[in-house]
Amino acid sequence: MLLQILVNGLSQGSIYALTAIGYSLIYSILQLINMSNAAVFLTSAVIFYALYTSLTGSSIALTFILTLMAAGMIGYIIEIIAIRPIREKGDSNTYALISSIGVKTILEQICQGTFGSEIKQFPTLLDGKYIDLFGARTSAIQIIIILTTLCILGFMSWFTQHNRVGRGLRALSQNIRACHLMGMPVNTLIGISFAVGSMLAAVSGVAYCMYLKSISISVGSAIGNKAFAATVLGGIGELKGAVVGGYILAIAENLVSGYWSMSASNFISFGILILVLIIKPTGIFGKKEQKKV
Amino acid sequence: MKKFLSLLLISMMIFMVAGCSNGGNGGGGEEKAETAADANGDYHIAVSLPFTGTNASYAEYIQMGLEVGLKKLEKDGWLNGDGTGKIILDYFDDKNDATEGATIAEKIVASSDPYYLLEIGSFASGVSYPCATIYRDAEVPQYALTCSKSDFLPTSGDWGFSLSVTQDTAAARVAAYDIEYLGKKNIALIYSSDSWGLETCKYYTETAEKLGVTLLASEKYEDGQQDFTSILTKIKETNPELVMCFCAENDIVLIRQQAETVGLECDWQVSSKSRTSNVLQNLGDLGENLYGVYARTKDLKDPVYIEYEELYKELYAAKFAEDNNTTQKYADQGYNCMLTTIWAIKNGGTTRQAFRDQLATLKDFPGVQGPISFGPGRRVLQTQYLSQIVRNEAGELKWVNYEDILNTFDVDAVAGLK
Repeated sequence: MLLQILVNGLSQGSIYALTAIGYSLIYSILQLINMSNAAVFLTSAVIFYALYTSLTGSSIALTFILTLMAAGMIGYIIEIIAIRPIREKGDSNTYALISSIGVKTILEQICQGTFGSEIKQFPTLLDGKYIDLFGARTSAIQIIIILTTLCILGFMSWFTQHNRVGRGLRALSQNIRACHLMGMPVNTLIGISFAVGSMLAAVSGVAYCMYLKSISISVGSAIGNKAFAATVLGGIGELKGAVVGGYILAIAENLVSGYWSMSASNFISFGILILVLIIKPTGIFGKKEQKKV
Repeated sequence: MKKFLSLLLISMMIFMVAGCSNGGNGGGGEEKAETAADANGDYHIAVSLPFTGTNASYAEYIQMGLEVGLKKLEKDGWLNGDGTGKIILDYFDDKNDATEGATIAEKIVASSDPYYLLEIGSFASGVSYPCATIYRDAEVPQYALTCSKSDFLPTSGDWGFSLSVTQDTAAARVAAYDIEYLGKKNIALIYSSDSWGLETCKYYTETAEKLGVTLLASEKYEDGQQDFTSILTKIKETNPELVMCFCAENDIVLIRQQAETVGLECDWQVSSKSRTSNVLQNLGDLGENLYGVYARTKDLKDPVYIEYEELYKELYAAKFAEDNNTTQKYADQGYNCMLTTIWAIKNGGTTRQAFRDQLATLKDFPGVQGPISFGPGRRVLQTQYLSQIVRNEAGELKWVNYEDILNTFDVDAVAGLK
């Protein structure tokens, strides 16, 4: 039973981690908690479902690529419409946070209006294929989710260290004003960070619905909160922190649900979060900001 | 003189305040002694349902049923048969939240323009129940068609009505079917943590214990939960013969699919809430042999059903086809609610009190699933049959009721309800 719970925790943690990276990426640059990320998670899954059932027929790969492109565009547009005007006015990030909550609500309402409130079957990969991992029954999609997360984590690490755009994002996270003065396309780079965050939410949303084999409009609500908690737990603004936070949270939840009760799992996971914040407010990997006086 | 004037002024103010509060009893400071109709002779009904949130699909179905009922009335020439006397439904979204529901209830009872003859809704007992005292105190009929909470009607004074059997009755019947009819002794339970889930779990467990069965596991989950693998893994360890689920239809789809993922193999039973075509459609082959409970099967040759189906197809053709050419269960209930409401108004229920008195007399009214009668407590008298998803000769999966079951198995006696 323990191994089964750990496998379930790992696949669930991968979903949290992918979404949490999106939160972390944007926070590291703008010190903004982009609440619209959870709605992009849902919106992407809805787009995937709509494309798969209408336009692209049975091609999961093509549908996935189109969904990623759509999610990237949504992220970029969210930044241009809802965040950039506030940022350029120099207003507080609190306004941007409220604006992102507004975007989240609007996206969720659009999804409900177009998709409806019923649960629907979602296409999945290698349905009905299971592997016995030392007694833990593991579905093919669980393995795919875990491996995909690790690959994306590796890619994000390479992207931020070695890619020109990724290095630009890192530079922004250190000092936006200096980047401006250096003539870097700051607005474009921030837009790209929103696009990348949204694409990660899309991967996570589609993967989660494939795991559930179903989609309903409530699919993003719980994950958004958990992913945000994972981000804070691991150290907000730290990519590896988001991943580790996601796994810790999901495994803790699964252990508590499995050995105690599902209702207690929220209590425990958020209890861990509060404890970490009390002991180390910057989260597991977060560094204390040094302010020059 | 000054003292006299002050006293006079205070007295006038007291009279004015008293006058206002007196009128507030009927709603909106306006007593409507003769009729609740507006200047055009139309009646306004408030409908409070969870159009957003986890129960939104149920709200959608009920709305469909109500609209089909209105369509029928329109075809019949409205209430007066000559195109006058319309019924106008105003929908409110209570988001499946008791606080939101109470705010809406306060708004409905205080409204004078429009003046509502009655309120229909909400879906969940956890929302209808807290609103019951608001409607009762304002003397507004509350037609909580799906409210199954046992003490809802006593709380609502004489102003509440329900088209659902109580949770204690329904849960006890399911336990009796599971244990004594199906012979299951190793049972695990999964239930939602809302008011309905908690109460049905309690009554099911009590009846099971009376019948000599102790449940192997009893697992509660929170609203919005999507991943059930941890509790299913836990239940799998107990090796149950049957898992009973008191869950919403969307949740049972996820639970059953994830049971496959963790390799939990046993029989499954759902409450009447999830005995829906949506579950059948989304589970596919996994749904085969799933048990449920249900009211009497719709008689497809019954003229009441035939008329309903025609109107339903007229309004919701795509949905009808999507659901394997059947009407939604909760739409049926919405339609029954609308038909009985129309009947009560047509038979003199044109004020709130007259409506309440008239509806309470409903007996053998021809509904979609046979005659509808209210018992002394203004709750529908309804038999529930064991039901199962079976594959027919054409290879299609269908919900089928065990219609003859009550000839040989007195479920109410076994459940201790007699």
